[in-house]
This record gives sequence, C-alpha cells and structure tokens, in this order.
Amino acid sequence: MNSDSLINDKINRASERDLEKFTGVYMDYYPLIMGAAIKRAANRDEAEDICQEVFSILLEKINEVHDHKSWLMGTLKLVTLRHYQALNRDTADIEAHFDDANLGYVNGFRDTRIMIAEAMDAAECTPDDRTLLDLVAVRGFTYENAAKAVGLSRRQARYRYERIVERIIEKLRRKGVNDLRELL
Amino acid sequence: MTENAELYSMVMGKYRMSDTLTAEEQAFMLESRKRVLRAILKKYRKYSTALWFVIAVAIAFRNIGIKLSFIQAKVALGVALIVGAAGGSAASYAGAKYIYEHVRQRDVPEVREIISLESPACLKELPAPRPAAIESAGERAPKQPGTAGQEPPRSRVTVPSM
Repeated sequence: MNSDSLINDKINRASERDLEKFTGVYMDYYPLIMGAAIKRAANRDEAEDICQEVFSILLEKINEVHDHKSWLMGTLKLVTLRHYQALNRDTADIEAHFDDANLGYVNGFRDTRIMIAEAMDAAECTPDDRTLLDLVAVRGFTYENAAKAVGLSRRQARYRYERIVERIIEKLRRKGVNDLRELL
Repeated sequence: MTENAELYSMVMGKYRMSDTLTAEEQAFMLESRKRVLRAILKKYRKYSTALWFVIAVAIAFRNIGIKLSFIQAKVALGVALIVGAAGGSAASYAGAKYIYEHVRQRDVPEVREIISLESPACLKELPAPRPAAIESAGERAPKQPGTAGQEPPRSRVTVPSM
C-alpha cells in the first residue's frame, strides 16, 4: 500500500466529527490563508489552487494539528514554494514575501515594527480576534467583509476590532508609546 | 475609540505591516470560500448533498454571528423541513378548498340558468308518447273509486237554506 492510498484510507475513515472540526477551522482561517495566497501567487486562480492544497493537507492531519494558524501559514509557505518550483519560477521573491524581517531592514523601522508586533501578540486575542485583527488591520478588509469572513454582524466586528486596538494601545503605552500619533 | 482604530490602521500602513487586498480581491475571496470547500470534500469523496445542506445551514447561521455544530445544524435543518412541509401542506389544502368552493359557487347559478332557459325547448322537442307507454302509465296510476269509464263523482254541493 503506497502513501497516497494510506492517506486516502485515513481520510475515508474520517468521522463526521473530524469533518465538522475541519469545516470550523476552514471557515475561521480561509480568509487569512487565501488573503496571503492572493498576495503571493501570480493570479487568483493560482491562489485558489494553493489554498485548496493547503486545506487538503489540513484535512489529512486535522487531529494532529493544534496551533492551526501557525501550521496553516507554514504549510502555505511550503505549498507556494512547491507550486513555484513545479512551474520553474524563481522562488526567491516568494521567500522574501514570507519573511517580514526583510521588509523591516529595507524600511529602517525594524525596532518599531517588532514592538508593534509584540504588542499585537501580547494583546490577549482569541483566535477569532486575531483573525479579525489580521483581516482589518493587515489585509485592509472593510468591517462588512471582515464580519462576513469571521461570522459576525458588522456592528459586532467593528466593536470587537476597536476593543482589540484599545488593548494593543494599552500594551504600547507600557512600552513607552503614549499616543499612536508619536509613531506616525 | 473609532479615531484610535483609524490611527492604528495608519501606523500599520506606515510600518509596512499591512498588505491590503482590493475590494475586488476581498469579494473574490469571500465568494470562493464555499467553492473551494466543496472541491476539497469532492476530492476526498466526502461530499454529499445532505452533508452540504448541513454545512450550508451552519455557514448561514455563522454569517449572522451564530456558530452551530453539525448536530445543531441538522436539527435546524430538520425543523425547517418540517415547518416547510407543514406550511406547504396547509397552503395546498387551503388553495384546493378555495378553488373547489369558488368553482361550486360559480356552477350553481349557471345550472339554474340552463334549466330555466332550456327546459321549454326540450319539452317541445320531446317525441309524442307511444300508446304502450300510456297504457303502462295508466296501470301505474292510482285507481279511482267507481267503475271504469264512469266519471268520478262530483263533490257534494251544500245549498244554504233560505
């Protein structure tokens, strides 16, 4: 029995509970992964293929993955590289896209970037909050689209986002940034 | 609070921590979500119409901020089907009843009209009764007292006395 048939057998035995778990994770993180894939792939169709591949692997390993976001982002990077290698494209650009620190050196804002990133990490966000934060603050989603993506009403999404930002500002204040205007 | 959110977005932009998607890309992403999920389930032969209905119900509730498990989604779907079937049956019954009564009310005056208009004409066109029929009718008629061929006795007339 080869590895493909083993994987298929494993998935065929996946219970409804596993499918339910997979569907939940998929709905939570699809916007995040697809958003990242769109930015790294050449076009939307390619991004969709990459995204499908990432979540297919997740379905195979749904019971083995615990930190879904980190695992999905890591798998996205691997799948994108594999995809580009298969097409004989230069993968250096893709690696740079995934490596945030590179951008920090280019802009000369490395320390501030790290401080903001730490404040975001320390803001005690639930996975849903973190997704909402990424969608609105990083991907520039409107409240309406972000609400659809994370399964909230528009008003709920806005209120929750503002609460997260307040927590981040509080963390920045402890690091000596009294007003966000100081960073502009 | 809203001002802080806007300032935060500006900070994210300034430090290149954001990589925004256009409105078109956002719409494409939201629109492709179900399609990709369906493709994955089909790829692993986990797709079935019933399961898809359950997932669709769960997603629909999720979009209004309520997260349902598959079991809850199945219950919701079952309730919706029962209510739909009951409503459909009630509507069919009410519709059939209305049509039946409507047709009946319309037919009754027409029948009366037909009778009143056509009866004389029909009588005129009736063929003359045959002698055998007359005889049999006479046999069936109640017998009058007295002998046959005699006129029936006239009723008594009382003359008032002068």
